[in-house]
Amino acid sequence: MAAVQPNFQDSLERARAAQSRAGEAFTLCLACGFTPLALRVQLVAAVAELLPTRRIECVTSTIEELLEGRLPPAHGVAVTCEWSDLDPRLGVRRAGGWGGDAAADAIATAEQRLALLVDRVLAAAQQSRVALALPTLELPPVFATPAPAADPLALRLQAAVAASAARCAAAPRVAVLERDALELESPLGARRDVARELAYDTPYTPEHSAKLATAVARLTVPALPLKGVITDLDDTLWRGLAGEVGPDGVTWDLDHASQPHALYQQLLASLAANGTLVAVASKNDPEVVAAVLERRDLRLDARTLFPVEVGWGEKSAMIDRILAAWNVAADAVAFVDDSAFELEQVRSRHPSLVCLRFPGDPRAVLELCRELRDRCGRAAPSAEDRLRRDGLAAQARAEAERVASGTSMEDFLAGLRARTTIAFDRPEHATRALELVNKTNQFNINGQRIDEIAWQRQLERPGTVLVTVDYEDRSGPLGVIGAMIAAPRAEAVEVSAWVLSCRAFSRRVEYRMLRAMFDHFRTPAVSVVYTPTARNARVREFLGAFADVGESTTVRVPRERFDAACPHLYDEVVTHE
Amino acid sequence: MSDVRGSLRECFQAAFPAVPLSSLETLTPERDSVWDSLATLTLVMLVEERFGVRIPTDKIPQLLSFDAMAGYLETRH
Repeated sequence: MAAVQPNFQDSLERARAAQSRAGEAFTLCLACGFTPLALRVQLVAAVAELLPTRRIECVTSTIEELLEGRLPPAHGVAVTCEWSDLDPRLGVRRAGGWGGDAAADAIATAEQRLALLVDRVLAAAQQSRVALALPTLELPPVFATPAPAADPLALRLQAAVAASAARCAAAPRVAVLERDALELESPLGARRDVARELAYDTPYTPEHSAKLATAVARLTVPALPLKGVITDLDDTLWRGLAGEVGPDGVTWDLDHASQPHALYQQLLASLAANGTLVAVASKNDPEVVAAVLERRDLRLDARTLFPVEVGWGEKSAMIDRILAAWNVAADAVAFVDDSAFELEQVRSRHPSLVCLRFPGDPRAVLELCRELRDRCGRAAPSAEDRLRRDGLAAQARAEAERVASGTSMEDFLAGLRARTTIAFDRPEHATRALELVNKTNQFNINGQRIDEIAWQRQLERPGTVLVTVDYEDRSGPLGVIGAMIAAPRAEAVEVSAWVLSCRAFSRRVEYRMLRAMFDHFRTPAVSVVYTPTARNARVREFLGAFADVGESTTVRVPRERFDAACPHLYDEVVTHE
Repeated sequence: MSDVRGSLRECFQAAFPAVPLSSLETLTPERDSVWDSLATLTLVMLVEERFGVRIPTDKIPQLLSFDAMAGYLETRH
């Protein structure tokens, strides 16, 4: 978690400013069993930082209201449940008896309420994104066993909490705060302010409240994961200079005190398995590197590395080529190198690239792995996430073969054996379509980001049709790589959202999608609600072939102009209506 | 001394943004409904943060006016 200074006045001012912003509101519901003064302020301030263009409206509810299923509708629900919410005897404001039968009875009550809490959280997640923080405070001496021995009842209680957390964390749209992550930021012994809890029902120290608010805000409004990691090799992916010690001389194991490199390798392997792109940029001898990458003791599959840029040129030029091969922007990528000089050189060319130094200290390597996991990791990777890497590599290989063989683009496309499946109103594609909307920059007609609730409302509007496109060719499947929201109007079909993954570029899928609009709706024109952004010049270029494109306008594409300018489409089309 | 009162005035401003500056120093919880228990806690947190002090919780009820708070802080600076 990012370090945030618990400056209450600053949070207060930022929260007030966020609540009076113009524009569409992000509604937030904070459910907790105590007076949430500081937590509410800090939570709104933290959410406002993550959603800088949205007005933040925050309502507070109690845990009782949550358990009774009476939470108000909201885009995001933040639940902070403390021990006293599970049974008042587990807190300090009610003296209902500790030890013996009272403790056992409190545990039984807590287990029942936890079960109900899980049900309510899962129900709330049908409509909202839910962030859940289970008890963050230390238990009072409710149980008889003297510390440091663990009490069986206390262990039973903790097991019930952990089981509840596991059930919630496995559900879509629920994120559970990890205890260790919070502990690293806010030590357990510094969280409770008993005097203020007794006097004002505010149990948290300001510092803990600020840390908790920051963490819960990040669960409520999660950041998009980075799409790729570019790694150096010598003294980063492995210890040693391969060119000097040879392919067998570089190490990543305990015997050579280079185990941190093995940890880094397996972290990259884990990210790659979940769809993160991993590439290499190394000043090195290509033959030596190829020999190292063939070693069987490597902790990641070398085939997951794409592209592998090895040579003696500048790293920033290598990164240019990698970004081009991936077709992603620099701000969606991290670069890891042990050399401060190389990092600086790369940063000067790509200021938005996340540049991370591979450290010499093993403890710092673990921190680096944690940071990469947090920046790139996906809790629930989609099938398309996993297909991305293979698709890109296959695409790049095919393009290289085409250029090498002198094949024309038309012959190349004709020989692709492409198959495009266009689906109209498939609810099972809604989540993937939203994911595409929120992470696509280049072919995105307006660059808008949208939350799950607003997306659902948009889809439920009468007459609205979700159109998705699944693509595969001889190189393999790419999965669902395009989505549109269309609505038939009097004289044209209006397209209010349209995104196409960069993996589908140069396959004419965008033409196929527009063709499908004309064919499916039998419309004389398609109106695309286009807003130029810093990144979507490709949309402008595409639409400009059929229509007059202004700045921030609806672009009307008449059928006859589309028919006249649309190139030949070679794909086989399957339509699900 | 005046630094304490000036900084305290800024805390009152942050805690009571809707109250005119000229009225801040005469606010009381008994007379002004804007000063409720949440406002008290907000003010205490702002003061603690600004002055780097920890106000004992049992002392708070005695500090519910600008002058009382200023007097308390002046003895600590």
